[in-house]
Amino acid sequence: MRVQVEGVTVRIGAAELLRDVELVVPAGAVVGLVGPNGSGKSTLLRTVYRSLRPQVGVVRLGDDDVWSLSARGSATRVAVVAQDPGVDVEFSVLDTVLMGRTPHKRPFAGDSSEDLDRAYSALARVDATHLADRSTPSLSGGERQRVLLARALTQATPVLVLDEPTNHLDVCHQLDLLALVRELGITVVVALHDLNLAQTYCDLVTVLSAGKVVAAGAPEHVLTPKLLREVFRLDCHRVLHPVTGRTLLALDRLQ
Amino acid sequence: MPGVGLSSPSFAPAGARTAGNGRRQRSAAALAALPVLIGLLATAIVVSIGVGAVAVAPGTTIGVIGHRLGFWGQGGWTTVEEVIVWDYRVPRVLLAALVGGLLALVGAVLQAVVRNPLADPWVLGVSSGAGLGAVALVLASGTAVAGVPLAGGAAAGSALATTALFVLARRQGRLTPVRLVLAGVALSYLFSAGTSYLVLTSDANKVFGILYFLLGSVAEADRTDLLLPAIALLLGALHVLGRARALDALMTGDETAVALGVSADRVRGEMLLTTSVLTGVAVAVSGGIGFVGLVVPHITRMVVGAGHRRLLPTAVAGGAVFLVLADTVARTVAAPLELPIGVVTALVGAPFFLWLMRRDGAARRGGVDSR
Repeated sequence: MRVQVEGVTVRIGAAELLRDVELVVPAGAVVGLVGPNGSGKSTLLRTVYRSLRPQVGVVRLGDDDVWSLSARGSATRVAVVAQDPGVDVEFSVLDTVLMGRTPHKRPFAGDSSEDLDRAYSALARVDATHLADRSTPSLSGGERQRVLLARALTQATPVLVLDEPTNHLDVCHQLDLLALVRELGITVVVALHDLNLAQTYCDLVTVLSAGKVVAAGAPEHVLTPKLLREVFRLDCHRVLHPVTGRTLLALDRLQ
Repeated sequence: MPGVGLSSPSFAPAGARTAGNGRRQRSAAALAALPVLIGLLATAIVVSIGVGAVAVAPGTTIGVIGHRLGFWGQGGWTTVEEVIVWDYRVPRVLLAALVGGLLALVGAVLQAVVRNPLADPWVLGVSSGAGLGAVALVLASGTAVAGVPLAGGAAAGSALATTALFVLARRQGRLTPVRLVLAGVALSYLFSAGTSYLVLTSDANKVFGILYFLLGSVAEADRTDLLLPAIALLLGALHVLGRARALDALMTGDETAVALGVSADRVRGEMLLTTSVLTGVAVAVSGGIGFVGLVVPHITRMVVGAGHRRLLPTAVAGGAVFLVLADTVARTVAAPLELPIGVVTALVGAPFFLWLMRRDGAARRGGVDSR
């Protein structure tokens, strides 16, 4: 399912967090959002999952304006792994993952065997089956991040929004997570801090700075030394991986 | 099992399922809680009916109730026993059970809605509002502390308190948990002060009756008093149970709730309205019984977990048992004097709750981040 952000402006109080932002995520593509802290990545993602209503502009999931959908309708199209994990409540990991079925359930309906199958297979995909009976607050940051991804997978949506999903993850699980996200074959919008991960795993990259889109396109065309210097204040050299031949960004502080 | 201290091996083979048949494991306690409580409730009701100035044997109690319900004929009991059981004690004990269920249900829902383990009907000012309304109308109408003015005043008071809560806590179309609690606590103090003022400036021979009402009692119950709380409990419980998944989502935070397709503000508003009506009904029929709505949901959560599909019915049954027992104590411990039931719930409930909390970390299970 295609996601399209058209001319979105978001103000909260006097602060303008996004100005006239355009973003097109083709169906099945993995699109990365990069930008310095406070550039508006999370705000933009929140407009996509119907948590924040823009003052100007439209966000479309498929052909429909997000705000023409019900909360439940939008949650059957977009699943989210947000940055703020929420308050710690003593739900078991399995129950936390099963919450992903919420938009699909009618009132009074119990968990069906299909729900359980989906939950267990999602846990298996994120390498967290062994955590099923643990209490969610007892998890480490990285374990929790994987469990929250499992919850999003259990939601079984055509679009996935990920806000800094690699936070708290060890390097191995960072790579695993992004490889898994690519394998899903669904539309993914992901905010990332690690520019090398963005370059390696994203089909397209959009760069935000101070609430505006400053560049968008294929990673190798967008993440240029010039842009990284201007937007991120980084000194960048592109080097070739000695074995795979992929381009890597060697980053340093500006001298 | 919460893995406190010991974490499970982090290199379990991928795809390995948990013990047993690999499916959801519930502790035996969680599964048994509701049936056990229902059995306990039936037992507590029969025992409680038998206790009093005239003791009635359990067999006689069951006999009279079955006879009056048309199951069997007159047995070997006296007319006096039949009147005591059917006309005096059955209404009273059933009212205690209904009110206990109502208050526990309201507490469990409010704790999720404002994501605060301290929430109960008192914290949001609704109970105090109902109390103030009842006292004001009783004093204005010059009647005894009972009947229509009392119930009408309680209903009007809870409605006014809820409206005030909505108006004060709303900001930019959103009802945030923190603002709800802050506004509710302030309103609660305000209403209590208003009630105190009215009581202290009223006719001295009414003060005792009013104080008694404010502390809660089911002593005056007759059969007609049961209908309203019974309907309220049935409809309220159904409505709330239909939102059980939404309440689960709400406990994990508004942002997560929205991502799961739950309109946090709408559910919160809807639940506040429902619980306000239920609170108004409870205060109208039994006065200001405290502590049940706070304690029972916590104890229930320790046994069956935080999921509302299991928590809500279990809390209702637990609240009913708790209040039937509290009422039994209230009318026996200082007999022939009767204590207000609210005094008993607090005197018994508070130490028990503190003990449990020390033992089991109830606050954490209730939804506060312990860090």
